[in-house]
Amino acid sequence: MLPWLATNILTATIFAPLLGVVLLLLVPRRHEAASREIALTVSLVTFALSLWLALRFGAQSSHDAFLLYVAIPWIPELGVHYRIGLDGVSLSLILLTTLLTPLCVLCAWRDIKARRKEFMLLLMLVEIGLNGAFASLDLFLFYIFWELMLIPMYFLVGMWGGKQRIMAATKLLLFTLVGSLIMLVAILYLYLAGGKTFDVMQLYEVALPASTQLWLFAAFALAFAIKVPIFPLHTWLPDAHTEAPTAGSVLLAGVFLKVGTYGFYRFAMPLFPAAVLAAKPLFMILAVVGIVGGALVSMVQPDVKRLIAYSSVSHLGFVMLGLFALTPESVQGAIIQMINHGITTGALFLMFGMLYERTHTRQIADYGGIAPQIPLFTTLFVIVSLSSLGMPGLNNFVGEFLILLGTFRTDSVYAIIAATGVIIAAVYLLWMIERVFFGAPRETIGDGIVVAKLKDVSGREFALLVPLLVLIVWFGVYPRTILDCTAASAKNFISLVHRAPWILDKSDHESRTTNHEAR
Amino acid sequence: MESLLHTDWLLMLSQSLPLLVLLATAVLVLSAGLCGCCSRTTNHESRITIYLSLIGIIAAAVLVVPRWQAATTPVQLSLWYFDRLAWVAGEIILGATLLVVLLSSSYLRARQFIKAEFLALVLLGAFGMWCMVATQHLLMIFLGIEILSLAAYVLAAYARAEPTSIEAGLKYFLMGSVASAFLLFGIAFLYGGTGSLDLLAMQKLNIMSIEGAERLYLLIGVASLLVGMAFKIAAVPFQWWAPDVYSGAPLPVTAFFATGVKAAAFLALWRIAVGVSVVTGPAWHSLLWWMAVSTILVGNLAALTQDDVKRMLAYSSIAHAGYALIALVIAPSELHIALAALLLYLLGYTVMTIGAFAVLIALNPAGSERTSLADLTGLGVRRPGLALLLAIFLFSLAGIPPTIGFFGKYFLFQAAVAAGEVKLVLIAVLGSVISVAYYVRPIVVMYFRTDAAPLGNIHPPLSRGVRAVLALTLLAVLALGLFPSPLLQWLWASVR
Repeated sequence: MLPWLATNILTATIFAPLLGVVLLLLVPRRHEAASREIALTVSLVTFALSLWLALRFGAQSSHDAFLLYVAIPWIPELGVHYRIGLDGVSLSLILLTTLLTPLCVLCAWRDIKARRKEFMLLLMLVEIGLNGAFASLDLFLFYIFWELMLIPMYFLVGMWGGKQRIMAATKLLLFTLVGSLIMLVAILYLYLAGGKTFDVMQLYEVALPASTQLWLFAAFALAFAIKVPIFPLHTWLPDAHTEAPTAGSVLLAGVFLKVGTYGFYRFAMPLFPAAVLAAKPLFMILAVVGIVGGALVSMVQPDVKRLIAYSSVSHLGFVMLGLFALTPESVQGAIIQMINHGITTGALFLMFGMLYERTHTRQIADYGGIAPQIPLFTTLFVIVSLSSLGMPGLNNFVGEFLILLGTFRTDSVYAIIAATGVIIAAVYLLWMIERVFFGAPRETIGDGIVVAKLKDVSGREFALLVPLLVLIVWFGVYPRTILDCTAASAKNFISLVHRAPWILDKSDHESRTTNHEAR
Repeated sequence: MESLLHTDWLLMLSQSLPLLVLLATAVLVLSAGLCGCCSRTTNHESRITIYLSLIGIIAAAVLVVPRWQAATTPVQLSLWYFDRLAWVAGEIILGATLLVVLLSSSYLRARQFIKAEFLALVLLGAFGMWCMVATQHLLMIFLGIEILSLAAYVLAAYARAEPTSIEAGLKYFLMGSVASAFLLFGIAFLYGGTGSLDLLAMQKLNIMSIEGAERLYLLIGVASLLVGMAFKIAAVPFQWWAPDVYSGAPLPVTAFFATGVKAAAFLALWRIAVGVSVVTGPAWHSLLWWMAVSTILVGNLAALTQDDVKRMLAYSSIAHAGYALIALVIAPSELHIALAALLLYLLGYTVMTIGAFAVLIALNPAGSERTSLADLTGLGVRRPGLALLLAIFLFSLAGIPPTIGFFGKYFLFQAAVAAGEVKLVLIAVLGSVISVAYYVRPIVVMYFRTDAAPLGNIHPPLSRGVRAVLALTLLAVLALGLFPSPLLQWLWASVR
């Protein structure tokens, strides 16, 4: 068993939650409460497996190619293989997923009262979909996992969400599906044009004509841009994040959106380098609009969850900016920002979920002056918010700084405008904190909740937050943990995107090579 | 007369044995029912007819297997034409018939409909369907369609107490007659144009040799034939009868119409299309192209506003006919792949649609059918098992992986992209997105509106037949969705 596990550790990590699905199906309805323990155990086992995975990954000497690579024919008639493997980025994202899932189970412990079994089951399915998507090196396989994570998430939002849940869930489903079905056509086309293979590594080497690349890139980019989401395709996000139950919001913001940016990183950009260079200005502009616009819209939100949701639009704009700036610093920054945004925004949603459990209101105006009653909670919330707004010494600063630095070197205007997003982030977060936690003390808040009866952070809640807080500080102080892990991947990514000189016009090509030499 | 003497009757008998078994079963079931009638309709009698039908269908299906293996080169015996396609089509038809028979048992008993006649009609219809495909002769195709249609008209009106069912039967009869008239008209003109009713002979025709009036006859003939077949597969703009007929007919009958009947009509149309494509050229292609596009869009858009699941499935069936038409559009450039894609699509569609209808039948054990969206409210809590099954079948219909519905679409789209029909595929994909919007409506009321759920009363246990159908279709939808390789190999071997 153990040697088998060691060789198939990646497969085991991806499909470990399936064990939970089976067990949960077997739980009779009257013992439904046990479903929480099952889900927690299974998700912790998955986390342990992913740590082992990280160890095995770290033990490998070369970091140039994909590690722990497995390829088994699945549907040979269609050229589909079960082809998985890891680089530093996918490893980090898998670790993030497996870390957040047990936290989601814990935060749903008391939050979810109806149909717990189904809830946990769907969480497990989302986890499979996410991990599978991060590990897939076969376009077809990726597509399957991509859809596999969507359907359970649709149910999570639709069944346990807030009042507008049906609208939010339907929007989430339809928006994502529009993109993914068009991407499916592009995948088909690429399969036929690229020598009848779904193997990403082989497709990296295919040289398609620039016009074909543009169309295919547009299709892929549409699917991923909806998921990220990039302005102006972001409108599903505030609804879905706001209406989702806390665990759903955490997973959505923490990892779900990262599949979009990861898709750009792994598929859309390296597969179509010529198109990337052509579309770069457009995406830089959209990223900057997302950064500033998302931050500005965030500022005026009356609803805390909506505020955090729009802040995601802003933060993921940074990731896109970093990826498209295509300098080593900015790409590294983008990768780190992906992870850090997952940690920080996940923590923000978690903490607000705890507050909501106590007060049952999301409106900022309903709050005020509760800090003296719940000092520890306030402190922790402020720390997480500071991390989110990019305070030096905490995790988000590293990513944003690298992105801005890298972008400034080549596209300084974008970097300067994007930097204002950081400032606005400070405004909306601090202003929100002021209105929610500080100000004149009140007797009651919201719908007649007595402030004096509010409880501070409980042991369970604290335990839940500790791992995230530790990571927030750790990655802020010692970012080399991720930097080392992902440096090779970032380098590979840039060389892949820059591999297409045959379609560039000459001057552009020359300026690019001089740029390289200048470094 | 001379040709009759020269026919190898023994070979003909041994080749067409599966079809004859089916026909004989229909007659046997009918006579068993007659015997039962003399001693009043009892449970015993009805059970015998069911078992007889099942045995007959399975026997026919088993008999097909060695014939499929032997059919590496097609066998033509007067009007029959037995190639692998004929046998695969037979298996699909038999499978659909088997599932429908299993479904109808409890449905008929609870409503005290006469079983023997119903089953005999279903079997006779299946025989007609098979005749449509196991031939390359236009006359035989027409005969098959008529055998099927006569059975189908009666089946549609089988719930005599329900006005909608009578309406369905009458509408189907009228529309079907018009379609038959068109078919006959077309066949006659085609004969005038080519001097033959044999599709194989038409394939070998030299287009340049046909000129003047004969060329005109030919085109009129092909156009009328296409109109007639478009009626039968309910393709736009000849789809108007379908929603009323489908929603009026009893549930098992609708399942039969939407799956087996449609599959057979499609395969017959395939034979015709391949036969006449040589003589028709690009006009035929663009005609089918527009028909596919409009069928996809009209079917999907009209389904959006339906508040009755049965009616919604009727429109979805129109939309799916549009997808299947894509295979006909690309047939000239990718003959084998297109056929494999068509077969996979029809097979997948049959399985998941019968599954969805099985859930509706399970929800309507007796009395008048109640299939509106409101009737499904809170089903996820009241009957979680059935709700889950319906959700899986609907997602499969919408083409979400990992289901057979996804692979059917995927394979078809891949073939179409390979044939250079990217625009068509994009429109089809757009249609898929629209379709998701209505396929999730039952899911929304089943799972997301549980607060308004009516109090659950005690449900009678599902009948064995329905349970068997649910298990079989679920297995097929998921197993073939996850591991479609064996099926693909089988289909691939069947189309070469």
